Amino acid sequence: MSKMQINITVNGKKQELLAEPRELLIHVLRERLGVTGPHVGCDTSHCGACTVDMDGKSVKACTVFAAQANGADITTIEGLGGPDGLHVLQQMFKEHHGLQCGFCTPGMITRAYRLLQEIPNPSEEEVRFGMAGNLCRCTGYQNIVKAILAAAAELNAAKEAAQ
Amino acid sequence: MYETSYHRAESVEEAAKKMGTAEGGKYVAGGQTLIPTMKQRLASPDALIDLRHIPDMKGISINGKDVRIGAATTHAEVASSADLDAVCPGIASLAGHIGDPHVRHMGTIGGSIANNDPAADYPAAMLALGAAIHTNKREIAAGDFFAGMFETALEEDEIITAVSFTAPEKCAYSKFPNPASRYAMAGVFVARTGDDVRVAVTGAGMDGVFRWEEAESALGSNFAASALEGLAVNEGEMLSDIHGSAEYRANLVKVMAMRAIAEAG
Amino acid sequence: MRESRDRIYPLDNRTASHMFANLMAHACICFRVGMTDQGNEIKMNVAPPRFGSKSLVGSPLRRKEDDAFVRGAGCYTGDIAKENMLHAVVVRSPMASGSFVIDSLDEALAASGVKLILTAEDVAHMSDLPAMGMRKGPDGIKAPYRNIPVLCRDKVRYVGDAIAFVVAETVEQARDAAELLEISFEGAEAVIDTGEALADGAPPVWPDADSNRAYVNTLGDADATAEAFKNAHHVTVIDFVQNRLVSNYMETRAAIGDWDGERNRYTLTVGSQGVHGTRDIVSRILGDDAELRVITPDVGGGFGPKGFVYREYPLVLEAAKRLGRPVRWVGDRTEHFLTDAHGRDNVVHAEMAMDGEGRFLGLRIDLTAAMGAYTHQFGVAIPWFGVTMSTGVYDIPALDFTLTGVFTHTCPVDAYRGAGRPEAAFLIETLVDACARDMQLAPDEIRRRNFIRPDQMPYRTPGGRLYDVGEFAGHMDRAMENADWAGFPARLETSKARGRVRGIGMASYIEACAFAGSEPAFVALQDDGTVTVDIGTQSNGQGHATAYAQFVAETIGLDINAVEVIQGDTDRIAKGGGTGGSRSIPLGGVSAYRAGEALATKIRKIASEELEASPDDIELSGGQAVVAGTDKAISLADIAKAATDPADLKAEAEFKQDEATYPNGTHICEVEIDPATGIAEVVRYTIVDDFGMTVNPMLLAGQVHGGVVQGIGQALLEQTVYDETGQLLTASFMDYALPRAGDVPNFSFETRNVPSITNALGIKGAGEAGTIGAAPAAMNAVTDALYRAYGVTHINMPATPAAVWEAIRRARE
Repeated sequence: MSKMQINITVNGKKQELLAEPRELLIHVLRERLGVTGPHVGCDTSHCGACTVDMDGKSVKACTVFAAQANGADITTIEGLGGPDGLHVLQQMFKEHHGLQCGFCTPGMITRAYRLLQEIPNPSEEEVRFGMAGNLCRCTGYQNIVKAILAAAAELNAAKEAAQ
Repeated sequence: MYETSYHRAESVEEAAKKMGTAEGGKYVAGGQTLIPTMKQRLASPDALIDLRHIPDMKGISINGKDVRIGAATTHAEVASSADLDAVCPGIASLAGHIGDPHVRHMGTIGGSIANNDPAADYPAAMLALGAAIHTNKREIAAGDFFAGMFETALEEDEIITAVSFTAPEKCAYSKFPNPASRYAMAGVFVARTGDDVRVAVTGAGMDGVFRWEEAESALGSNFAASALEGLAVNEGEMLSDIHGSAEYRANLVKVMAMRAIAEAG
Repeated sequence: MRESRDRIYPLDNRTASHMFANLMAHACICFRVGMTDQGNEIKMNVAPPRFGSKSLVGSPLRRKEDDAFVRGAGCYTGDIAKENMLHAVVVRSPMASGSFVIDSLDEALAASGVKLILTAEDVAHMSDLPAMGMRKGPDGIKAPYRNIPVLCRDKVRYVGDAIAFVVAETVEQARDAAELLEISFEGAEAVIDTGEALADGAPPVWPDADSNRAYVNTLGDADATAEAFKNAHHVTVIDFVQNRLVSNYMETRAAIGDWDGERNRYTLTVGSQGVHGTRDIVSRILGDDAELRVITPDVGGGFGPKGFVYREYPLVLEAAKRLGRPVRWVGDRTEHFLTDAHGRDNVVHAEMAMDGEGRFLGLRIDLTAAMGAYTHQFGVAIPWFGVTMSTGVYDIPALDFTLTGVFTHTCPVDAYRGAGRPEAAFLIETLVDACARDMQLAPDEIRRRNFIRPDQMPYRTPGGRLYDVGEFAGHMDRAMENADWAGFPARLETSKARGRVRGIGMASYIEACAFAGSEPAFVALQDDGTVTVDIGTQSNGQGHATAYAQFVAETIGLDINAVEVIQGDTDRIAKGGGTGGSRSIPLGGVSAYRAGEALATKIRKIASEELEASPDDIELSGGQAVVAGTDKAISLADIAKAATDPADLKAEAEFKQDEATYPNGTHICEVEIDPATGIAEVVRYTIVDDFGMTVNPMLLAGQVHGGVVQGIGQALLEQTVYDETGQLLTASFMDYALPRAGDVPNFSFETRNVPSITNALGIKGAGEAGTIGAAPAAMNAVTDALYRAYGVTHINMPATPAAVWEAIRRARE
């Protein structure tokens, strides 16, 4: 099967590559671009370990063809922190022990990053609902929720201070 | 996944033309059902025609009570439309509870309706709202569109371009999600305009989405949850599987209907 | 896959996509003293056995490993791409029972990109996967093992059984080719239900045996128990099913095989729970004279089932050797459901004899445990762990236990978080609640009357276990206080007013951790003044890099970031027992501490020579050796340079423990049930645990939270369902309900530690405790709610909405 030209921006960097039409975005990221932060955790689009931000929306990169992503701007966990350090969410996941094995963490944080733009000051319930597409088997979620709420508070405080 | 090919259509005409020339082609919009199915090698289209970038198929327009939603509009866009929520809160709320946030960002109303999964949410809304399904060839009334599990009135190359409906005076959707998949085990959309009440049920029926006509007539004269007390859907027509018996689903239909009525107010 | 919901899984040959104590779970991170996890406060409430308030050990230090993980820089097996690497898939049985013949590989071998197809003939030189732990039956004879062949020869015994291994340039090419194998199957009848395995006429899993009985083990004193029952005022009887679970670590298994012909050496890269055990077993299977190095990078959850050796491990090595290229296999989630060892699955009948005051006189248990189709690595032994713990925290004079292992045409069963001990705790804690109902006693009252008292310690149980310390009424009282048990009636009324039913339940569990054994630790001072700790346990997410660093940094006066913990490479680490059974910290932590102390002594000696002072006057702090009370100091880097003998910069220690440790505690769960839909929501959850001593309260709370959610998952959501032909109906997250963030509450967690006197540092272990306490607490709460409102006395796990609704409906009829 003939390969297709795919142009995508990943973490601010333009990438041009050839991919089979049946290739998924997650495989292009992991196998061709070496962006292995997003993981594959299931076959049925439930676990969210592969979550990336595509054109400002959380998507499961295991359920998007690379061809569908042609022209898109993709941000993965690797692109969240600035050159100087960690994103507030990354800091808060560390601070509040929001991870154990770390496998779901890239997807969790990338989803939470978008959640806090959708709802800047979420309630605990909104966080739990907003993270429904991301499974974790280690933490029992309590510290993930705590980390996201703490990050929201921090971001809001920074926003207020800036005004 | 089996080998396939991919074409991104810029217009409805182009998409239909591509489908005409492709062997074993399939339209893809959000792909949230099709892609997992293909990954498990349970579907093997030789060609994929992507409808997600067709400008004419996007967006929500509201004129008084008349609503038109482009088929490539995502669930997230439907859920977050304040204008839509103001005239038809039931459908906005429904869209906001489909699957999970990721699915809502990719999945589209047209894709959901075309697939007619027996546990999908939108078919219930279409049926209860008496929506018209617009395609590149014709307009089909929702009542004529859904034809049993995963079956619709669509022809091979036909493309849903939009849905339209007149917003009812009151409406609400209530569902009980499957604890594993989050698909509806029973989802009930209730719409009322004057004494015209429609009750459509998804997730529970053996033949997919259906209208619960007995409930509709009882509610026509008394739009209150209590009007359903003596009624029951036919257990013989309900799905039964490892997640719940037909009796359980019949119960859920009634409970969700009562909750939707209470919410519609 | 939407279509796959509720469908029979069409796993035909084309959809191929489809040491004892040391392999059981998330190991434990325990700690110094008590703490609460309500809000951000960490409250200490028991004096530490040995570490001061400024000690690193006992502090909630943030994890060293997290910086990489939160950046997406973790490195799991499936993240590793080697140059020239090939990809493999396994062709699996579509049927639960039958025979097969491979008619032709020709078409598959000719397919694009295909390099190799291995079938049973190609691996005839390999041994079957070894199982261990079989005990003698009452007849004094050990039943035979039924080991798993690397590839099936002519019979398949469960859906997913491995038939062939296809290697190609890409995964998709391998999958394409897997569909082209021509295999003729002849299906046979299957037996699936554990309770049906021994029925007359049940299809045999092993036709050369006279039944599907895998073995029988007995424990206790049948005569004394019969006597107790004869004298009983009342006998309470329960029957239930301990549901089959799938571990569902988020990282599915993966393995990479490499072959170095010049050095006659294999390298296996695999997510394991310990490289040494994996190496020993895989070497035994390979059976050739080549060396084997095993490397384990980051591991995305283990919970027991990632500790075993699976067929794909020798297969990637064989393929790599034949092809001279690295070969990677990455399992998908469906394969995880089909073939990674399942957990639990018992059918239980239990009876308790009581006197007129509700005091326990005797306990009789008849338990049937599913083995699946084969004897899995430790599978035959797992139920036994539960058997020995069957009397729990209670002083029960007589025990009569009959355990029967049975074969069915299902995925093999082995250790899953807790491994036998959750089953035991669930059995006794739900039985005790049933006794309380029968005797019209409050659940706390019947427990109080029967607890083993502190003054009875050390206490030898009828199961043969020796409890060293424990204050069971102490943590139960504290948990009741924290849970506001007394306020329950008011909350019940509030629920009733909302049309809901409400229940409260407790479980006072005890478990056994750190089974007799040892775990050596090797520490070394490096040239730059940092210290390395080499140890053969394996973090699967528990935070070993931080916990061991705390022990060693404490002894040498370093920041934990100056201590590097190294695991997961048989070339680097001489030996090790791996992680499982909550053993890493009770054993490895003590060894790390002692090795650190030994190194500190050596460092002081060198410093004393360099600084011309007595070793006793040398203090180690801030990465320096300082002469106390002076400004004379030397950095650890300079000490490393000053050493004349490299041995002076190294130390090791190996703490051995002859008896297990016994963590215990009380969980209290409160549920609210919507009778219209049957959904049970956990609305309050309180934990008071005795882990002996706490190493890092933050890590400890994390272990408990995660464990509790796995226990709640078993109680309310998770169920592995086969149909009568042996097709797995719950083969994906479409049908197997894993808890989501919205399914669980926040937890109130506190420790009330009574230091162990078996363990040198008082540590008891904590990796599995959450799971062990949670399932019975949750089910006792659900049963309490249903009993109060409808008189229902029993419901099986999982108490799904449909199951609860059915129970209510039956009670109303």
